[in-house]
Parts: sequence; C-alpha cells; structure tokens
Amino acid sequence: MELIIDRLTKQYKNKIAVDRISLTLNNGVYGLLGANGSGKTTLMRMICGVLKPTSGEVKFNGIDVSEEEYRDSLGYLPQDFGYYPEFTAYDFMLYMGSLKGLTKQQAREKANELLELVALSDVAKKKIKAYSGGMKQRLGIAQAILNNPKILILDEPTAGLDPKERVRFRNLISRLGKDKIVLLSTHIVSDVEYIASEILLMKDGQIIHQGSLEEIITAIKGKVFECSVDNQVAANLIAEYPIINVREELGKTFLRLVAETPPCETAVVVPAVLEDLYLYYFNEGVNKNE
Amino acid sequence: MSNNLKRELKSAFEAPIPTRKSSFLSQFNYPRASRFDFFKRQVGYIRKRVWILSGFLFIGTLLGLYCYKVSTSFVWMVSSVLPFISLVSMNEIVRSTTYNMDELEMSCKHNFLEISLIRIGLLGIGNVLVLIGILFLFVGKTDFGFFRLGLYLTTPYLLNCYGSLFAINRLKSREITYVCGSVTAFVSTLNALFTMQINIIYTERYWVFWIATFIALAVLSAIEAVKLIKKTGELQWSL
Repeated sequence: MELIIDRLTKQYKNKIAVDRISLTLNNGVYGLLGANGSGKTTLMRMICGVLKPTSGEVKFNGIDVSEEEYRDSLGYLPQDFGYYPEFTAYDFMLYMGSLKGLTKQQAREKANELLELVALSDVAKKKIKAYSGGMKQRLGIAQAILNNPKILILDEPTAGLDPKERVRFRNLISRLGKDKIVLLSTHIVSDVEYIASEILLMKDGQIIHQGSLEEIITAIKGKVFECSVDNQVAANLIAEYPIINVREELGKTFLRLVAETPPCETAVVVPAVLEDLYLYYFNEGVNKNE
Repeated sequence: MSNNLKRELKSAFEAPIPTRKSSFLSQFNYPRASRFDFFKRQVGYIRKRVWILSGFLFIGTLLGLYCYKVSTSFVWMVSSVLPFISLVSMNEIVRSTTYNMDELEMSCKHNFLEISLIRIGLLGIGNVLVLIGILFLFVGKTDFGFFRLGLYLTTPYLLNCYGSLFAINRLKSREITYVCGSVTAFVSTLNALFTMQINIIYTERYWVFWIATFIALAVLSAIEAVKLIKKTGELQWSL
C-alpha cells in the first residue's frame, strides 16, 4: 500500500497554498503539524479529491485520486462538516454508508458497531442537532471509518474533544494505523507526539521537516535553554530570541527559548520536545507583540 | 467431538482476543451495493415535502377545474403557483451546500456529482410530470391549444429556474435558500401583475413574445444547470 503525492501544487490567484509537495506514505500514522494558513487543509482536500490541484498528482497503488476506486479506499473527516437537520446519528451513518457503496445490511451492522465504538450507541436515535461539539466530532470519526478505508484522512480530528475523549481517540487511531495509511492534521502537538509514527511539519505550503519524533527534533537539539532573569534582561532576550515560554515567578522572569549558544550566564540547556520545535517555527510575530 | 466436550473446553479456556481481525477480514471482497441500489436509496433521501407540494398543486388544480369555471385568470393563477414547485426542487438540489455536507459527499465513492445528478434528474422528471399532468387537466377546458397553454404555464416556471440557478451559481452563501425564495416570490408576483395588467397578454398578438421568451429561458436555464453540475465536481474554494 503506497500513497504517492507528486509535486502537488495549489495556487489561488497570486497565493500558493500548497507548493510542490512530494510525499510517499505507507501504512502508519502521519501527523501533519502546522499553523493556521500553512496549507494543511488544502493539502488534505487535494488528497481526498475534494479540491483539484493546480499541478501534480495523487495516486494510491497506481489509482488516480479522481477515480471512483480511489474514493472507495478513502475515509475522510473534514475540519468542518455539516449534517441534514432531520438526521439522527444512525440515519447519518446509513446515509454515509449508502454513499460509500455499502449494502443496507452492511451499513446497519457497521453503523451499530461504530456508534458503539465511539460511545454514541445510547444516543444513536437522537437528532444530531442536539449533540455537543465532541459528540459530533466522534460521529465524524465513525463515518470516516465506515467503509474500512485503506487511507484515512482526518483534519483536526481532536478539535472539540475533551481530554478523556482525546485519549480514547488516540488509542483508536493507533490501532487503525497498523493496517492503514492515516494522515491527521492538528494544532495539538501532544496528539501528534503520542500517535504519529512520522511527523510532517508544514509551513507556507511546504513540508519543512519530515521524520520520526526523534529525527525531527534534532533540528533544535541542544538549542533549547531555560533561565530565570530579571525583567530588563528578559525584555532584551524576548526581543532577540525565539521564545517558547515566559512565566513570571518571584520577581523574576522564567524563559524557555531557542538559541545557538547560551543566551545568558544562568541559562541551562534542556532536552528539546516537539512543542519547542513547533513554537520555534510558528510563533513568529508573537514575541514582537509581547 | 461431542457437544459436552466442546462446552467443557469453552468453559475451561478463555478464547484470546483477536489481534488482526480487521486486517484478516479486509482480505475478502464483500458484495457491494450496486449503482442501482444507490439510486434507489437516494430516491428515499429526497424530502417528502417536494412530492407533497407537487401533489397538492395537482390536486388543487383538479379541484379548481371541477369547482370553478375555467378562465384566463385560472391559467395565470396556476402559472404563478408553479414556480413554487421549482423552489422546493431547487432547495433540494442545493441541500448539500446549504447544510455543509458537500465536502463530505465529494470524498465518497458515490460522490456529490452523482448525488446532484440523481437529484436533478429525479426532481426534473417529477416537475415535468406535474406540468404535463396539469396541462392534460386543462386541455379542452380553455380556448388555448395544448402547446400554447404549455407556454403560458411553463414560462414563469422557467424564469424562476433560471433566476434561482443564476443566484445559486454566483452566490457562495449557505443562505441561498432565502435568495431562491425571494426570486420565486418575485417571479410569481411579476407573473400575476403582468397578466392582470395586460389583459391581452394571452392573445395571438403576443404569441411570438411567449415563444421567444420560452426558448431564451430554456436555453439560459440549461446553461446555468450545466454550470451547477460542473461546480459539484470540486469544492468552491477560496483563501
């Protein structure tokens, strides 16, 4: 099983949303990490055939994204999806089952099984409009795996889920990733850290880093420092270095920052985590406003 | 092996939880729903109000023809109501966009394009059947021939189709239902006022006007319908 993305580009007037991205994805969980507007959703939409690329191609086992056979292998959870107001969760699952080519009997069985899996079976006959955000999100996840897809694309799947639901979801995705290609995008760094076997860091329409957690954080290994300094020194450091964390404590300012060399005498180097890398790349402008 | 022994073994040893059940099951090809099954199920997802309104209009016309003397005013009344059938059909066609289901539907095996084509086809056939049914009810009860009566009844309907499709293709708003409702109200009122104010509109003198308007609106509606179908192939996207 191989999903090949070859020089995929999406241009809208003068703005390039996705810029010549090439990837080869095999079984496993891939975490797509990037700030708002970095092109994650556009990339995912093109992988799902919802948006046509300006150039480049997407193929799964040689089948083009525009073909019905490709869509038959696909499960997709968009960032923002709706539902027909008269639908209950069960109706919604049956409807999605019909679109995914399941027979009525298969759709009924799978709907019951998956609603149970996402803990919605007791409210399956309730109208979706009465659901909370988290319940809708769980329903969205259930519909995405209704056809037992080989490619599972999840755009911000943990948005709206409470911590308990997120843990449950992570476990589910980890299980699914064993025999599927799972690509999920999120802002929540810890979700990616826990479940993704490979991390894709996206910025300005391009993949700037790709690899396992260990590989990816080598970019800032030995460059993350922590120090407690007085306010004047803190102001100077904030202006000069990419800041990951600022905290006021006992008349001093605690800073966690990224620098090539120790930024002050009291600075100590600390192990880098994915969040450091994320903030290093995506908190541009934040420091300037502080 | 005896049943007793089987039971004993079952109670003595707990079966392990399957570890690769889904990957094992996914090796087999299960029978899938055919395209015809999909079509049949889509028919069921068209809201009943579409068929109910069409039925009411047909029955209303039937009752009107039996209870009242058929006159020119009855023709304009029916022709002013027909755009409302087109309105409910339009709302059904743009339902996915209105309720933000289009993105999800585009990613499925039977995608948004297929769903839209089925909806347009079924609703189109439904509307044509109602129009033809009403025409047959009128035949012989007015001074107008079949085709002339057809023109008088369908031209406002087509004007509404064109106006609604024009709006749907250009406006990205999810509130398009209200826009289509306004278009229908405008067309219906315009038709009523027009035919009331110009008493001779249904005479031979305006024959060419009706034919030309009908043809122009039919062509324009067809162009807009093709545009709408093309739009269903890709999400309307902007940064």
